[in-house]
Amino acid sequence: MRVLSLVLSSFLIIGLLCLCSMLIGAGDTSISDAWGYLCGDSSLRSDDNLDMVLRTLRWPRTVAALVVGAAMGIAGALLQTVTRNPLADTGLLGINSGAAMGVVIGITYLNVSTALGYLLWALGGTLLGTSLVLVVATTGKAGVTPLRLILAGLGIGSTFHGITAMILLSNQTSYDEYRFWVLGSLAGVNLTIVLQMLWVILPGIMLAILLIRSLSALILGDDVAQSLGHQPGKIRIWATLAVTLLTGACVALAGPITFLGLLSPHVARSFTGHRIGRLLTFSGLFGMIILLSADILCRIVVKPFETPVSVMIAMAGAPLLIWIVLSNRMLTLSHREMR
Amino acid sequence: MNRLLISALVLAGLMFGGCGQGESPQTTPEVEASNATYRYTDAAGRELTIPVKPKRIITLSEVDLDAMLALGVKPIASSDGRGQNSFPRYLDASLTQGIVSVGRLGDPSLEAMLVQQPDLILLGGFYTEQALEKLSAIAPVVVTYTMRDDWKVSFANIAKLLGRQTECDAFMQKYNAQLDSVRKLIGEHINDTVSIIRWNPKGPMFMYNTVFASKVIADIGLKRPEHQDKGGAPHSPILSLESLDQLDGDWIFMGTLLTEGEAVDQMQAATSTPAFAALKGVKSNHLVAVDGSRWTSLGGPIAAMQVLEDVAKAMGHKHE
Repeated sequence: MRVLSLVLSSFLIIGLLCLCSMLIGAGDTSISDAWGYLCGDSSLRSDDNLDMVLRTLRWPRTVAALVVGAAMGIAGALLQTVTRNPLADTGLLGINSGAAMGVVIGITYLNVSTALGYLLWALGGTLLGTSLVLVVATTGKAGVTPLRLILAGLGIGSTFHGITAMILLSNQTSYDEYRFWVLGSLAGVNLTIVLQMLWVILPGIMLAILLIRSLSALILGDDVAQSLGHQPGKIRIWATLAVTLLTGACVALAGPITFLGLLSPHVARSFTGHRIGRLLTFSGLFGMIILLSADILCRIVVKPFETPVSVMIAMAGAPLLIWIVLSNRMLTLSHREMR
Repeated sequence: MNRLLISALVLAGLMFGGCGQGESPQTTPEVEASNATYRYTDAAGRELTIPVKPKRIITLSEVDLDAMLALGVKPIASSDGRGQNSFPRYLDASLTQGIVSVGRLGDPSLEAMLVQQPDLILLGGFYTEQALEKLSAIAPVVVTYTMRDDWKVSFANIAKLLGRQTECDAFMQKYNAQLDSVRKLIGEHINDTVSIIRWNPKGPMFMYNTVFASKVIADIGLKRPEHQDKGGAPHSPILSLESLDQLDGDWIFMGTLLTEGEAVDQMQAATSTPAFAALKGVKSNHLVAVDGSRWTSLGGPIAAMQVLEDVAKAMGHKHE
């Protein structure tokens, strides 16, 4: 019952935030005009400028915030569960550094300068990053343990980070372009591309749902999971794949917004406890709420300019995380020691 | 054992002493003839002893390099242009031919500089005390201009330092004549506003009036849009796509730090953004792609002349 009311109130909040997102912007468009447009006022509907602002600027970024928020939340929850590491965020598996390297290579050697170009290169880098992590983590007889996964991710991530730094150091023009990408932002997203990215994100979510049972067993520890007939190594590979699909698309769309993947599972856990199905659901919902609110704040604080959304999430999200810790809502991830 | 050591030391002492004595009479006259020095107070207010006729100069900022070339003197080496892997792109290759690169702006390679054996180092704009100290070990370092000085002050300082006052005056006359001819060429457009922007997939920025190209625009007598007519930072933060009207002007000059072909890509990216395409400057086909290495970066006298050319080409042609 409590869960149901929580789901309903989440949806209510998301609905309200969507409305705010459509009404509030960094430009001169007044809230009442935007409201009138949404209500279908015919004179306002025919206002070209208003139509452009709401239809091509605010609507796409609202949709993108929902999609990216949900995907990042779910990916973060998956990753924290699968690695049994409460500090895991979506940057852990070399995903962000892979995407960053892809973008930097694109900018430097192929003069990529459009949003779509950035997106494709980021996606390519992501895939390269996680496939390398998986190769490293699965090689050998020990199977995919949390520690192997984390270390492989850390190693590959650092390597990519080093390569990125090296290219940028000797190429300041690229750095000039890159510094805007790396901050992450939902401004200027294209609705068609957001919808196309759903073809990557939806399979990721499906995969996460299919994994719920196995992951529940995995929480009890690898031994117990094995005795229940699950294969921990395989579960981790599939989960990593899901995380790659989810974050890869997000990083490509909005740039690296890592902190979201760390934050929303913790917020979710403080409300719902450990049950994987609920954790994934609420991580997704809270991801939407957090990202959407942050994106709205971005437009207000330095009007008519914009703050990058990742900066906003870090600034507003860190106090939230600290509150969770202080209020003893933080739950341990596993009842067993991580090995 | 001790005796052996002592005699070895004495021998060594004799050898070195002998060398020193043998060399000094040869070098002294030469040193006095070409290395006459005088006291000079630079833009940072430091008093220095520098050669009267420096022969091997290294420039460590694009304005220093630009100004020297405009005065018809070639430095032996220079640092690269801002955000570039080479000398400022706007400087024609024939001008910089033979000049050795000593690395990035603000972080030149001291070893590469040592190899060049400079007798004077020009460092305008931003510097730190530590950098000055290190560079001074190589050769005297003159701070040619401060961050507050515009290119004309810098140019005059450098001309004075190199004893090239006549060349400087001649160049400024040419610049002023060029200003007049540009004013004539653009005719009634003189009352138009000129917006200077940079594009980026996440959102655009505009340049404030303190940045180099803005000053040349002001020299012509053209105006800047209201929002851009402010000082302070070189460029605005990323502008919201909802507030693109702040980019609008009768003319919009879009600087890009990439090469020509890419400039076209960026133009297309920008104009395919509906909010941007709706701007008055874009609609009236007054959007001009220009080289960011002179428009949205720093430059000296040569860059100033090129900005004038860009303006004449864009606003003059359409007028006719």
